[in-house]
Amino acid sequence: MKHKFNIYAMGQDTVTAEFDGVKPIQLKRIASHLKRFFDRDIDVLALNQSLTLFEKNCTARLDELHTFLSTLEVEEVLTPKCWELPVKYEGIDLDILAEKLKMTTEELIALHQSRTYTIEGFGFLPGFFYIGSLPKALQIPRKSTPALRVPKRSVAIAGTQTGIYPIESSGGWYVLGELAFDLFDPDEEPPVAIDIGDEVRFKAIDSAEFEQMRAQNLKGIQLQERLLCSR
Amino acid sequence: MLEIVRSGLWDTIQDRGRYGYRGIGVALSGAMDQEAFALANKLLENAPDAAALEVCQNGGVYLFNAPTYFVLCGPATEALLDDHSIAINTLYQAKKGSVLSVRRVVNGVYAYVAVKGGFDTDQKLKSRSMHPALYGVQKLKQGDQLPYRAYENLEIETDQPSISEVQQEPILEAIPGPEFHHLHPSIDFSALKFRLSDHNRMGYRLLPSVHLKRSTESIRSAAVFPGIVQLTPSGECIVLHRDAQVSGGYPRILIVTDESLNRLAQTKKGASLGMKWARGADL
Repeated sequence: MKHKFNIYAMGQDTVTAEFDGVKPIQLKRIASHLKRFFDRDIDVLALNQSLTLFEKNCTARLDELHTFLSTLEVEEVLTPKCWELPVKYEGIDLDILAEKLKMTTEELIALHQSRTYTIEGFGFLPGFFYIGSLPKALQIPRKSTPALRVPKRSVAIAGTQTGIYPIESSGGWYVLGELAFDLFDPDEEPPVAIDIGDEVRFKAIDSAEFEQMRAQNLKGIQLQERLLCSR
Repeated sequence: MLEIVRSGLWDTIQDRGRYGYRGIGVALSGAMDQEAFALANKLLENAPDAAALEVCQNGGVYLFNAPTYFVLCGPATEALLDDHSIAINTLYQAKKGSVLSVRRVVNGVYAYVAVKGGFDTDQKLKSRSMHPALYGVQKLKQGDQLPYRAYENLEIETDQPSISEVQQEPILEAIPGPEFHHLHPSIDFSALKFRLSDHNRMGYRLLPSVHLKRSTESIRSAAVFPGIVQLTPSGECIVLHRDAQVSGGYPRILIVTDESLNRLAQTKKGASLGMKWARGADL
């Protein structure tokens, strides 16, 4: 592998490999190579340029894993999936955030939709992904006091990232709006179709469109087809 | 069905945990005291991942709507079956209409009520362990019905198991975590005392007897799991437990063993704890 990495164990059943300068989609590719190494569907968490394997006694194979990763060739150019996520931008923090960022709410909403983002990792809650990177003008530290209740489907920003709350939770991110669909469904397989390295665009919808989509309540493959970007 | 006539303080259904989904942010979950839980299934000759009812401190009142065999496992617990005291780690037969009342876990915190065949509640992502993010509720409530298969006239060989004594002052065994170097090098872990200030299924907050803080560095969000000990900016140690999130931003100074997590689960708020290096800890 061209990229430098550092690999270490955390107890018997957990190994983390931290990489230097890999793209999220390359992390996803490395994760799929690791499944080949173990010859089965292992549990891998991709987060901040690192992969963590949760696998019984995987620490015993640390040296082998190091050799495997050292010799691995990861493609530089990979084509990600792209998803277009419909958002009703009427979030509770919209006005206060616009004021803090010294812009109008209209400018804020337009700026949030102005680029194509990348899924950088999972964490925090089931089906919560970190989506980066926000334009400089939208970057703001998380709230000093977290809100006790951030509603389900909230689209919120903090730091360099956007996050979507799959369930109601406490949280310190600024809520811009609400997504029209549920992306995480524990009764579906896979429970979430969007993966690390995928691209994401946000698209503003009005209340009527939002209500119509909520009523549709698409799931599984129908939801995936509805959200895939038209190229 | 087992009907919850009156719910306890924090009743949930738990099994060994939800493996295979941490890559999408799903917590491991599972019984807080895996040893007591495993013993319950062993005594009933159940599959090791059969789901049981976990009660916390004060249990509730439960009505058996079908005959079965059950055990109550965990530390010493006050409980009644149809107004007669029952013992822990002992097989009992429940008739249709029997009432189990779990009053108080005396020598610890968590106890398990398991029935022959396990509770057949809703599975989510291949596990029955209740987690609010998947089930939409934190715990069971009055009126909830827990399905199980009826059993009568079973032959189960009952060996009275040896019961491990609850340690007066639990000693947790740990190995160094990835950010162990955030601690002051002069700190002798085996001499430290901690006080358990509060706890829930996600984590245990331990207050160390000396100030542990060394650097104010925080780390980028990194993978965590049950057993990881995080050092907060104010110098507290958070031992992550079964419902821990999959990522966290505090330095991971130590990792306690799974056996220690079982001990910790039975430690009461306010108690004092010690820490020592686990055998084979690579220092």
